[in-house]
Amino acid sequence: MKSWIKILVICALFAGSMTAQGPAPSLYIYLPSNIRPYIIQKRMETACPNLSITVYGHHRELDKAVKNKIPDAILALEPVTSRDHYDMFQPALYGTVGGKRYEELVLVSRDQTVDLTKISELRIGVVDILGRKNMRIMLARMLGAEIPNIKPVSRLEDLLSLLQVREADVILVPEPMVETYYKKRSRLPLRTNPIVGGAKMGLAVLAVREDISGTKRGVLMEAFKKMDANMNVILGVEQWEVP
Amino acid sequence: MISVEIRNSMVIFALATCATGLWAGPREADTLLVFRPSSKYFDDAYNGITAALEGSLNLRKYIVDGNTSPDDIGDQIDRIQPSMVVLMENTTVALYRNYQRKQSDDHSFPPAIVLMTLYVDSYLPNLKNTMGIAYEVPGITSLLHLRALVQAPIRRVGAVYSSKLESFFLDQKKDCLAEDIVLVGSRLEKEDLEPRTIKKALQQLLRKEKIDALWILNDSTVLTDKNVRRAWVPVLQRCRKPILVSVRNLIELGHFGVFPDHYSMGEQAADIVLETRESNWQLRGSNLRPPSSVLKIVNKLKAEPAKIKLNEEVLLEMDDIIE
Repeated sequence: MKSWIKILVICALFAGSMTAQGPAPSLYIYLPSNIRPYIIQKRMETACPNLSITVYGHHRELDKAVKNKIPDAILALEPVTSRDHYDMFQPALYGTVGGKRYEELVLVSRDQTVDLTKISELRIGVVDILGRKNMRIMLARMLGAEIPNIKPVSRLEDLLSLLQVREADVILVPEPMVETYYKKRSRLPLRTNPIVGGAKMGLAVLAVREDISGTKRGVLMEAFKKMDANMNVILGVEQWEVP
Repeated sequence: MISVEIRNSMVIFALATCATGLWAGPREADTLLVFRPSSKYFDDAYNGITAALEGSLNLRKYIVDGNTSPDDIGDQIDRIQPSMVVLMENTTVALYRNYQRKQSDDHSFPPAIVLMTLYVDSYLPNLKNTMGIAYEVPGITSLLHLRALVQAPIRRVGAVYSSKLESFFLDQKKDCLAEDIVLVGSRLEKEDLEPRTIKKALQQLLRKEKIDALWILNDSTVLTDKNVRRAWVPVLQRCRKPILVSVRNLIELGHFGVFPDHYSMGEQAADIVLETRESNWQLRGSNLRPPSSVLKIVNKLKAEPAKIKLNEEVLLEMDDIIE
C-alpha cells in the first residue's frame, strides 16, 4: 500500500474513535429485546456518533468484554448494572416509560390460569440476564418462593416457543408486551396471571464508570439527552432521567 | 477417623448407586467431558457451554474424527471419570451408542446430553442415561416467525417429506393446529425419492392444495444434491409463495430461514448440566428438549422479485438479511 494511502487510513481510523474533545467514550450495551444486536449497533452508531459502541447479545459476552477491557459506561437493564461485580459503575441516567423506571411483570400461561400458590412446582420460562444462580435469587425475591425449575432463554421471543411446545408452564414477561407482542403473534389462548404483590423489572440504565468525569461524562450524557424517540423505543424507554 | 467414615459411607453410596444403575459421579472435582468433531461448525455451541460453565466445573474435550472408535470413547470416560458427558453430532452419538452396547448390562454410565444431532429422538431409545436437545426447530416456532414477517396470511403450509419423517411431520402438524396453521404434507416412500416424483409432489402442493407457504424440512433423503438441482430449484424458481427453509446452506432456495442458534444451544446444554448437578447427577424432566433459541435469516434477494411483502418492523428481529 502506498504510504499516503496508509496515512489516510490511519487518520480515518483514528478520527473514527475520537471526538473533538479526545477519545470517544466507550459504551457497552446489552439489552435482551427481540431487536438484534447488530441493528441496535447500527442505529446507536448513527444516533451517537461521538461514542464508541459495542452491543452484545448475551449477558456472558458483556461480562467477558468488561473483564477484558472496562468500558467508560454500560447500558443494560437495571438488574444487570446493579450486580456486585459491576460496582465500578454508577447509574447516571435511568430510562423511564410513563414516568416509571421499571415495568410490571406478569406470568403468562397457556389454555388456563395457573395456581400461583404452587408456584415452586411450575416450570417458569425467563429471559436469562444474570445466569442461573442469580436468576434464581432474583425470581425468589420477585415471586416470594424458591423456583427450582427455571427455563432460561436468550430473548423475549423465545419465551413464546416454550409455551407452544409445552416446555414451560408459565413465562415471565413485561406486562405491556402481553398485548403488543405475545397475543399479537400467537393464537394460543394465552392467560395473564398477575403476581401477588406485583413484580417489577428495572428498565435500561446508563451506568458510568466512577472515575469518568468531565468531558467524557459530558459527551455520554449529551448523547442520551439528544436521543430521538425512535431510538429510545429500540432501547425500551421513552425518556432518560438523572438519579 | 471421621474421614474414614466418610470414605466408607461414600463407598456404600457408590455401591448402592451402581447396583441401581445410577451414576454417583465423582465427588471431588466435577468434570464435563465434551465429545465433538473438530470442525469450526461446532465452535459456537462449545463456546456457549464454556462461557456458561466457567468457574462452575472442569471442562474437558475430546475431538472425534474418522479414526475414533467406541473403545476410544470408553477410554476417555474411564480415565477422566466425568460427572456428565456432552455428545455433538450424529457420528459421535453412534460411537457412544456402540461403546454402551459393548458394556455389561449392569454397567453405569454418566448422564449424557446430545446436541447438534439430526433427529436425536431416533437415537435416544437406544442410549442409556442420555437426553437430547433437538436440532430441528419446531415447525410451530418457525412458522409463527414466518407469519409475523410476511404481510400475506399464512394458513395452509405445504411440505414434502420422506416416510422416515412421518412421525416428526405428524407431531408438527398437531402442534401447528393450535396456532391455526394447517400443515399439508406430501409423503414420499423410499422408492419415490427421485427428482421426477419430488417435482410432481411440489407442483401438486403449489397448484392444487392452495397452500400459502412452503416449508422445506431438513430431510437429507429428499434434499440430495441431485434432487435439489433437478427438482427443487426448477420448481421453486417460479414459486411466488413464501418459502421457509430449515437447512442453513439451502437458504438461497427460499425466502426465510429459521435455524437453531448454536451458541444459545451450548448455553442451554450447560444449563441442563447445572440442573443435573443439582439433582445429584440424575437426569430429570423430559429427555428431549427443543432448541431454546433460533437464528432468523431473510433472503430479500429472492423475496423482492417474488413480490413477497415483508413487515418492516419485523425485519429488526432478523439475524441476517441477504440483500
